[in-house]
Amino acid sequence: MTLALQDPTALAASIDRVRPLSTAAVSLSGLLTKKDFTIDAVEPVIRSDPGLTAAILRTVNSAAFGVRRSVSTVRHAAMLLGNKRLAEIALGTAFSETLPIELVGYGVTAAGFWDHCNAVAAIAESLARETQGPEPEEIYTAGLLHDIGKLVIATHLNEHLQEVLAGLRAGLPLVDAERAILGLDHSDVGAALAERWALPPRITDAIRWHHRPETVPDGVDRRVVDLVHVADGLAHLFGYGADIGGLARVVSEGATLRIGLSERHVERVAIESLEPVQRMRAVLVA
Amino acid sequence: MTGSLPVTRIASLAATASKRAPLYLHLAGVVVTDAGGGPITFGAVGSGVAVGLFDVERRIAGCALYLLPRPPDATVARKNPDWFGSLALPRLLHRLYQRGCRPEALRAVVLGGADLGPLTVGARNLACATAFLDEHRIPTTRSAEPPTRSTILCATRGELRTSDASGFDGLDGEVAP
Repeated sequence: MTLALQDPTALAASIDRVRPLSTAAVSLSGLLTKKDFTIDAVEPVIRSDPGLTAAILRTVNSAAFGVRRSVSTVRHAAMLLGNKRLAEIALGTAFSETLPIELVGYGVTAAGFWDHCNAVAAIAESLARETQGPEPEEIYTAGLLHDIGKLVIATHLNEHLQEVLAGLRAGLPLVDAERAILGLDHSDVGAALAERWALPPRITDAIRWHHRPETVPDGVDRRVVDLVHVADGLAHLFGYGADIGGLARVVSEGATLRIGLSERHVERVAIESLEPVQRMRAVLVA
Repeated sequence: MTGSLPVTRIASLAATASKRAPLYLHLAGVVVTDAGGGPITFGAVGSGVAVGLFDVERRIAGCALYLLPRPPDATVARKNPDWFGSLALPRLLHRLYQRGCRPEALRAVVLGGADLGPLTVGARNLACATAFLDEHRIPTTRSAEPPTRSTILCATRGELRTSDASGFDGLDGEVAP
């Protein structure tokens, strides 16, 4: 029997229904894979999209960012926040525009989903610093976009909600329930969407493997996958954007060992990630 | 977590709660209602712990939802005291006393403290709540496994409800009769 999303035509049609990430956002995701970049690299990308420029300025001027003087230009925002942070806010702002009001099927609102995406980005970045391994440049972006597949399959999941809930009650992690019922899970579908959006390959890899860090093939940056995988588990543990899967999740022991996770790290990343998540709520409000 | 309740009972509770706008409590924070105030609601608590205190005489409730048992240093503690049980719980109690609550009239509900794999942050958060409530001799009338989704401490009636995606799936009990 062919399950709901195993048919490539059905999958492509579902991907088409997701509001696409803007050209500016795709360019920003590419920029964010570089170690350093100047304001001359980021400013034209943001200014090419007037809607994005206005949204960023609204966000940066919101109370959450605590900026004392009114910010009226992208360059001024970069001076206050730094080029990298500005690019991250810009990417986040563009990504937020792809979100529906609610991810039906997952039982989570856009605000909850948004909290979770930002928490994974902030926790992954913090974990990378805390565990003192190399900090992959793309870690923030990979964390932010890791669950984009849920945008595609939420409605399919909703059509099979009773089966999904039965699977969850039987102790199945949500990602396994997706695969059993739809034939694919949100990481497979997310990778397909990332390819459609032409995101950088390393981001696409992280999206594809974030629930299967033990099966990462050669040539894929395992550290990015491990960090996003563990950050995803911690974000759920801390209660960011809980969905119907609750806490029935598997965090790979191998991944925690490879990144050297300790209780001390968990406490530090819990503290370090809270403010960035609170600040990024301003993106949806603005 | 207790089992499910008759639908009619759940519906009446939902109606009661909906009469007043809920106070939404984000991780991590402390809120206190006025006498007869509306429900306090928050998202999933996970490894965090929510401690709800209810004054059975004055019908005033308060809730602290904290992230970690104690701060790593004085700077973090000063900046964000509500993030930590060791600071948030005394602040919650102080705010209730300021509203005239008496320690003898307080009842507690404790929720959360989940852990994933070998991590123990949830258990340590729970231990912090238990130690605080024991120290102040506040009886815990209910404690519950972490719910998957929103939880309501209904200040007007002292009830605690949990829900998941399939709707209200359990009433953890009444803080006060």
